[in-house]
Amino acid sequence: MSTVAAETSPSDPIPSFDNLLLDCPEEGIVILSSYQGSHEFLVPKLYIIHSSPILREEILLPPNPRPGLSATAVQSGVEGSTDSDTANANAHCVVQLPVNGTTLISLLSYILPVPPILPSTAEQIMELLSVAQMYKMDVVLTHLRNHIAQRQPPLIRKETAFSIYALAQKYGLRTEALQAARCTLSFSSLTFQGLAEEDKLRLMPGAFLHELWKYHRRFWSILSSEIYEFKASRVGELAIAKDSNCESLTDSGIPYWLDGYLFRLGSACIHNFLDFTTFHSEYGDHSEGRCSKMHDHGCLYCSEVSDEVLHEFWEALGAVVQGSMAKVRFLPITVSVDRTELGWCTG
Amino acid sequence: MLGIEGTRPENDVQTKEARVPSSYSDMPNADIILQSSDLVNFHVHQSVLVTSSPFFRDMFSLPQPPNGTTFDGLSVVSVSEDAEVLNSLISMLYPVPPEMPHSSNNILALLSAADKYDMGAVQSFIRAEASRKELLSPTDSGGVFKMYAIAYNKRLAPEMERAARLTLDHPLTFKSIGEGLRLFDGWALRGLADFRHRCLRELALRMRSFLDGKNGPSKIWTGCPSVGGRAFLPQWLVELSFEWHPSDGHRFSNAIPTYVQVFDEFMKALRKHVDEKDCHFCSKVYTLEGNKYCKGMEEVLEQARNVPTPALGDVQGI
Repeated sequence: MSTVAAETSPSDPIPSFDNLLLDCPEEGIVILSSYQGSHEFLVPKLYIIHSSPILREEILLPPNPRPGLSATAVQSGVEGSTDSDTANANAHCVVQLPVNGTTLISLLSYILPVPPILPSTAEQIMELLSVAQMYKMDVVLTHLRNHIAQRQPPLIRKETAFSIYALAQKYGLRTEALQAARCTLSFSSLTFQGLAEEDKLRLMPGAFLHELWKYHRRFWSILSSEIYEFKASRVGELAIAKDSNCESLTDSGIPYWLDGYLFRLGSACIHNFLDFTTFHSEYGDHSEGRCSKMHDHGCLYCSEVSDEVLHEFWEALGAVVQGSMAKVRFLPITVSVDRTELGWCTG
Repeated sequence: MLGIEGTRPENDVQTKEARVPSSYSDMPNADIILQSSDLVNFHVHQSVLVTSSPFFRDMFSLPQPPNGTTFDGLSVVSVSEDAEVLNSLISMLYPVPPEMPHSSNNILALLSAADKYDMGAVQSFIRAEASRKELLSPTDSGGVFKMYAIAYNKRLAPEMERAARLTLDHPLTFKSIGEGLRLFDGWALRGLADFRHRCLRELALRMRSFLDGKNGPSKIWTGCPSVGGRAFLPQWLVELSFEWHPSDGHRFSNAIPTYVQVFDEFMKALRKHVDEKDCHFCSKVYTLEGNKYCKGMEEVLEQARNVPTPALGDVQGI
């Protein structure tokens, strides 16, 4: 395959494309990036056709001159190639994609049998996912998401969750928007005060923020009733509460400290609710007598509760939280995709 | 078709039923049609548009496309305003009773249209009418935040400033903004948060001076028998100051107290103190200097709210 950077933007260096060089068969196709300078790549048509039903349709349809087609784009040669290559490119079908050169190279690296190139920034990764989604490149999407899942540090984490959520909403990426929204649940109580203090308000338009807020509300509502159910039917069966001789038990036989912890969790009063340390610290307050209601010596019975018992409870509680997350409806903001923006093809 | 806001296919006007409001259907000697975004045709006079709007004057001075859309033999200019807003705008160009839109959203849209078409006098008139009839004075939190977002989006600086100050009476929470949050640009939210933060800081600063029992206006109370500690203030005022004086933990997302609220609390606390302690000193001070003291309190609260509002020019993308 021959490549060309017809106009390289100085602020957007294109990664090396050496690994993508393939011998271009006769059935080649010119893929053109349209943003931030035009870049052309002559690639085997077969891969493109198999990667996307939309591009297949575009490519296999009879040539249909588009009014917006740039004559220079069609006739521009492939830089660094021979005259015959250029003539060949001119004779090939041209598909223009609404992406910049960097994203196009990454996209092609996931389509062609070459080592994949995952972009370096979150914005570029999300743009790449959005292009793959826009062209219904299911295999590329799966490959890409697997690749992202192996990334260290993870793409979606506390520091990036809000910006990834905003980008995912912007690009209509439901999967990533949901993952990021879930991530925000574990550390943010979602208040304007908190968002402003972390300078997160400018990250997203109000519509995205409003959807995130509604997602949080739905989650806390579900978690609250799930915790109630958990307390009523499951906690008593777990070793932490079963036949407990704790010095401070509720009427239902659950240690007060645990009952209080679950109550506050269900009332959205515990921010780091997926943090075992917070839970363990509350256990310590009770068993070591740091809690104001306890005697100085703490609870002798609970102080002998083993780590296994605590972990058994924690895992059961984690399942409740995860189950609640799975039950929350998530409605991404609809992003309409205009087919006329998908690109064009001419033979 | 002469397009102000982009163009439509030429056949559009002919295939869709264009309505004509009665007031503008038989305008004598009308020579042009303004078509609203919801396809209502207004038969008007080019000379009227040219006189009131440099925008239209410049537009009509350019050669018109030969294949422009016509309706009833008149050229059609398609605009982005809907019929209610366009009707109001046109009513302000003719010697007829001006028709203000019914909703505050459309009043803002009307102001925005007047701005877009460079109709300065019309815009001033709308603002005066809106002010006289209190048409842009929402009292509910949702309405206030919505007004701020719309004014911000339409770059209507005076309305944005007014709305930003009105938001101070309401907490900045998801619940109080409600569905109106969907209208907000991220920078608009950030600007509003910054503004409220600055108001709170200003309030803290001014309250500290005001409640200084040694050198500030509150030193008038230092003769009260209940004065004690380093504050040089009577106990009832110390307790009250905790509520007034925003501490580090005070959140800008809370509503900023109004003078009426603060005055009510002040009077309640003073009455309680005078009644319970039979404090003749505080009673006498209030009689002699209460008005002046409360006036000072009002100024503090007013000045705290008078910090510069978010500026459109400072915001990214504008």
